[in-house]
Amino acid sequence: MRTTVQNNSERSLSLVFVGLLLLTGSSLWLAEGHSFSGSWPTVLIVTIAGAKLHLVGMHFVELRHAPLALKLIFDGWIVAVWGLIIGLTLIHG
Amino acid sequence: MARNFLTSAYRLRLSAQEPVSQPRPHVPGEAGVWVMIFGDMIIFGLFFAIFTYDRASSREVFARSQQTLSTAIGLVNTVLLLASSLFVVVGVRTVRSGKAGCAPRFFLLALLCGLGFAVDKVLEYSDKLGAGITPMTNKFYMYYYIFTGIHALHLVIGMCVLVFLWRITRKTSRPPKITLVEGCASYWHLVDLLWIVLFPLLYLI
Repeated sequence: MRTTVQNNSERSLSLVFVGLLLLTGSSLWLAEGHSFSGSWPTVLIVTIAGAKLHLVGMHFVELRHAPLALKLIFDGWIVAVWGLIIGLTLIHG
Repeated sequence: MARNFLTSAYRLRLSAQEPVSQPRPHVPGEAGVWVMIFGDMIIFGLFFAIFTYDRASSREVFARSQQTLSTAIGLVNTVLLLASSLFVVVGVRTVRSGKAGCAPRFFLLALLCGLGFAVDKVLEYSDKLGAGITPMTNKFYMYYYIFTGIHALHLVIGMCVLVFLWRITRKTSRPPKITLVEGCASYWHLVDLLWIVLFPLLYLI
């Protein structure tokens, strides 16, 4: 039983890692400027970075088992950084 | 027989009504470590905002300077840090499961990833400095050297933390305190988290 749980958790970690690599790859693809123009690549790349931060925080730092307050502070920081970068880019861009 | 059937049915019904036991909320590491981590995250958050604000006023200089950075090196460094974070969490779970014997191997692998990042950074810095690009060249490079320099300092401290983790998990006679292992691991993850924002900010957008 314990081995099954451990195998599942290892599989989910591997899936998260593959997801992170795919997200990194899509950031690079967007940075090449293939499909979007204007501020869209910046918005999407920063959003992808936010998703990666959330994945690393919840699964690698293991914050998904943390008290709600800690999770909220962590995700709040992600939203604040996302909002600041996107906001300043759009306002001054 | 009918009675046995009813008893089994009752038991099944009871087990179906039982709430699924949720693991108790758990802070990975000591609370003090998290005060330090969030402090660092706030400072870097301000760095990101200042950089984005200044980029808007000298967009052309920033875009031209960004072109000289190697996206390939940035990508390799991203993959190295993501892999190191994976090794660290597997190491922590190994310690938690009581099989501490395998844990040092994972922390060593994470350390090697960190070392790879450091070597890449030295190559990148020497390439730029060799081409006469210094923090005084323009605002973009000033931010580039300051942010990546402070991040590199975090990386070096993180590597020392990984060596410490490797050492304490090697001693099979005295299993380490799990809060200590988690706190050290959380610090290493911070190095990865900060790079997740620095990479697109400096190299991609």
